[in-house]
This record gives sequence, structure tokens and C-alpha cells, in this order.
Amino acid sequence: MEIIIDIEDSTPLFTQLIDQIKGAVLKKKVRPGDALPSIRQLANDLRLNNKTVAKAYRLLERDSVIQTKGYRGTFVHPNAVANCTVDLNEWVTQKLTETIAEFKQAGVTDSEIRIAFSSVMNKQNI
Amino acid sequence: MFENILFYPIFLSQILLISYYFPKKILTRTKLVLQNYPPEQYPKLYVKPIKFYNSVLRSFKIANQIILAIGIAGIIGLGYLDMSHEGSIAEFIPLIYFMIQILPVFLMEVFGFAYFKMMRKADTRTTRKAELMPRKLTDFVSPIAVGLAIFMFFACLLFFYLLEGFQYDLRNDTFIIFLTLGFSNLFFCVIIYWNIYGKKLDPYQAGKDRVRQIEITVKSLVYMSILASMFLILTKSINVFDLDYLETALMSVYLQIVIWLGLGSMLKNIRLENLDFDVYKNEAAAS
Repeated sequence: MEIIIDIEDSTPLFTQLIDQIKGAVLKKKVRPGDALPSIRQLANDLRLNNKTVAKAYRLLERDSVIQTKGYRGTFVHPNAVANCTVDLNEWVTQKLTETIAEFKQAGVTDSEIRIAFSSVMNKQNI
Repeated sequence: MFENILFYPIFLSQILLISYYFPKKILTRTKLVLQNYPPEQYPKLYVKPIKFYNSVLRSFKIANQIILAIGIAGIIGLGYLDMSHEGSIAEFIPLIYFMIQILPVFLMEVFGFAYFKMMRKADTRTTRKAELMPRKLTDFVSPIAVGLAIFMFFACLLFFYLLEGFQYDLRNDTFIIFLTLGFSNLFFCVIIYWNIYGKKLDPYQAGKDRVRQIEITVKSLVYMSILASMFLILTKSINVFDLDYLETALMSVYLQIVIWLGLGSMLKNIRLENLDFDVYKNEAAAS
């Protein structure tokens, strides 16, 4: 299975990687339990920074599409096919849309929402 | 007398093998590439004008011819002189001459690295491809061979240690062997690691060609490691059994096997007709 990335594309490189790996899982080009290349190997083959591939792997691991088994390497998650269809970005957008709509209905202004949002995010990141 | 009869044909074979046979093979192969895959049809293969390649090949040919002449003159000179093996420089002649012999090949290798760098710079494609398959050592060489290389390393150390009566001294052969063999094995490990996980040198190289190239390199280095340990055990045995006169000839044989394993296996197994040259065509022509 070959993955192709376009360095001139407006989509961030790590997102392209995530999409390609998810695509490979959904098309059954890679199956649950299959080993994936190491971060270094993939980064060198694609002539990308290790951090870019690491970020893609981290997000895929968060979404339970892949799993890292220590020194043995990275593997496709047993529930990868089901988890590939879950789009956390879409879910976040939907939840935020609903919440913001609620706030607006209650008469909260845009700037109040922004300030509150930033404040909550800052507290979360401390 | 016996050692001379043994040494001359073996050393002559070293001279001819490394300074005539292999350079001729390399030149024929490169000329075939230039003829069969011209710049008009395979522009990505050429980052310099064709004259440049011809001058590099000419320099390579001349350098090898000079080294060959030095070797022939040397062997005639040794015939006239009384070659003594007892602590004289004669013991190191095959090794010293080997160092000179591999110089053009080494320079060609360095040139290869510089050339691939130029190719990567000239590569204007915005898309990049990679196989979503992990590569690991045992994909390219059997675990038995790897195990044997590790076993032979320790067996060699133990053999030296045993012959020295298990006496710990930093001036002992065991410690020197531990350092030299250890460093050479470490060097092999670095090259193997770099081949498997490192950057792709040729940006256009087809995936299957790369896998074949890695396989040949890895196998050669693992076998070379086994051979190095065996050679050291053999030379030590020769010293123990007072067969020192065989050492020079044995060294030459060893160096020839090393070249066969490295350069020879590369030339034998990576055949031009099996390489995918379509990757060097222009996109429109290739599709």
C-alpha cells in the first residue's frame, strides 16, 4: 500500500497523512493488527520532519485507529475500521455549534462567548 | 619457497580482480546505461551534461589502470627481491595495496552520494510516495545469519581470550580484537540501519528496486561480519600452529572475498534489465 502526499497542497501534511492512513484502513489495504512503519522510516521516505509524522500518529492513536506497542512498533487498532468513521473534528464542530446557538438564544454576545471560550481553554491548558 | 608459490598467484588474482575485473564490469555497466537510457528519453537520470559522465568514467578507468600497473610492477619487484615474511612489510602488502585499489571505487561511491544529492535538488515534484509497510532487519536477511554474526563475534573474542589464558590485559590481542572487530561491526550496523530506515538517496528509485538494493547491502554486510570473525580466528590459529608463512596469502584471499561479497554481489544481483528505468522518464512519457 502506497501513500502519497502533496507538499504544495493547502491541507496540512499531518492531515494528509491521517486521511491516507484512514483511507487505507477503510479500503482494507491494511488490516487490524498489521504493523505500520516507524515514525522515522515514514518521515525519511516522505522526506518530512519526524514531528509531522509523530503528530499524525499521535492523533491516529487518540482516535484509536492505530496503537503503539512499545518497542514492538505501531499497529493498526483492532477496532480501526469502526473508529475511522468517527470524525472528532466534525463532532467538536457540531457540539460547539449547538452550544453557541444555545448561548445566543440566551442573549450572550459574540465577544462574551469568545472571551469565555478563551478563558476556559486557558484554564484547561494550565 | 612454498609461501612464494602460494603468494604470487593469489596476490596476482587480487591485483586483477580489484583493479581490472571489477572496474571493467563497472565501466561496461555504466556505458550500457548511457547507451540504452539516453538523456533525451530519461532526463531525470541526468543532472549533468553527458560529457561530464564520460570524463568521470575516463578518470575512473585511468586511475584503475595506474593502480593495476603499480600492482604488476610491484609483483615483479617482489619476485626480484627476496620476500621475507618474518616481521617485514611483506605481510601487509596485500592490505596496503588493497587500500590503494579500493580508492577509485570509494571515490565513485562518494561521487554517487553527491550525484544523488544533485538529483534530489533537481526533483521538482510536489508529491511524495512511501510504502505503508514497516521495514525490519529480518525482512532482508535471515535471523540465523544475524545470530551467526553475533555468535561469531563472541566466539572470536572467546577464542583469543582462551589462547591468552584468560588473562585480562589491555595490551592483549583480545582487547585489540574487541575494539577493531567491535568498531567494524558497529560500522556495519550503522550502514544497515541507515539503509533500512534512512533517507531514500535516489528520489525516483522504484520501491521494489530499493528493497532489492537494501537486501543485497544488508546480506553482504552480515556475511562480511561473519567472515571477519572467521578470518581472525583463522589467522590466530595459523600463528598458534606456526604457519605464519600462510598469513599473507590468507590476507589476500580474505580481501578478495570481501570485495566479492560487497561489490561482486551488488553487480551480480542488481541487473540493469531488472531495474525500473521508467521512473527516470518525464511524467508524460512514463504514463
